[in-house]
Amino acid sequence: MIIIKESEMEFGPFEENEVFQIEKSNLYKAMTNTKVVEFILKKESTLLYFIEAKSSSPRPVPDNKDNFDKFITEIVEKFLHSMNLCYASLFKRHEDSNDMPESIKNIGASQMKILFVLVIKGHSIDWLPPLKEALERRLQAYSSIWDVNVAVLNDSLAQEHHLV
Amino acid sequence: MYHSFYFGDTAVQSKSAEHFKQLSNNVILDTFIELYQEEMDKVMGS
Repeated sequence: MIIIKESEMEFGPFEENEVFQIEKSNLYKAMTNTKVVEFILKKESTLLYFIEAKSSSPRPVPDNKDNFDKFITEIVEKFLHSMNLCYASLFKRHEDSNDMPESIKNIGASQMKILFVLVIKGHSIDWLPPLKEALERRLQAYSSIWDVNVAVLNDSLAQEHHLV
Repeated sequence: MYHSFYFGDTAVQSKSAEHFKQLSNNVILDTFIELYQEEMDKVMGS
């Protein structure tokens, strides 16, 4: 079993073959100028959670718009680069460094369902919808092309869903 | 005079306008949170 400590939270325990710590992978280390999420979790037979953890986020108020937009851009890049890397791996683009677990590779590109999950420690639930809406707006084209969804949780919701 | 407000099945009533406003905000916020939790339950299991 594996426990992942990120942003003052402990994720897991998860079965080792169901987790791809993409940030620590050889696959990621072989890339240039790429941003990735903390880890990918195989949740069901064909469902993958791409999990990014944060200990805080900027408030979406008018005088903080630049910081908020910058935060959303960073998260969107991590989600998209991770998804691209995952598909590149499935299409055997980087066989020399491809250490993605077999259980994830075996899902196959056509069957794979992806959920982008942002977990923010200590956030009140009513602070989460603006973040989810901002991410959805920025990911709208990719969501329709790849049929991916977005979830934004705080640590208590993450606990309810057995992530922490 | 009572201020009254029905939000779905929930009735909010108070003689004090300020208290009524606070109660109404709480009811709306609780419902907002409940709906978000339901949405997350659905999306996490999709």
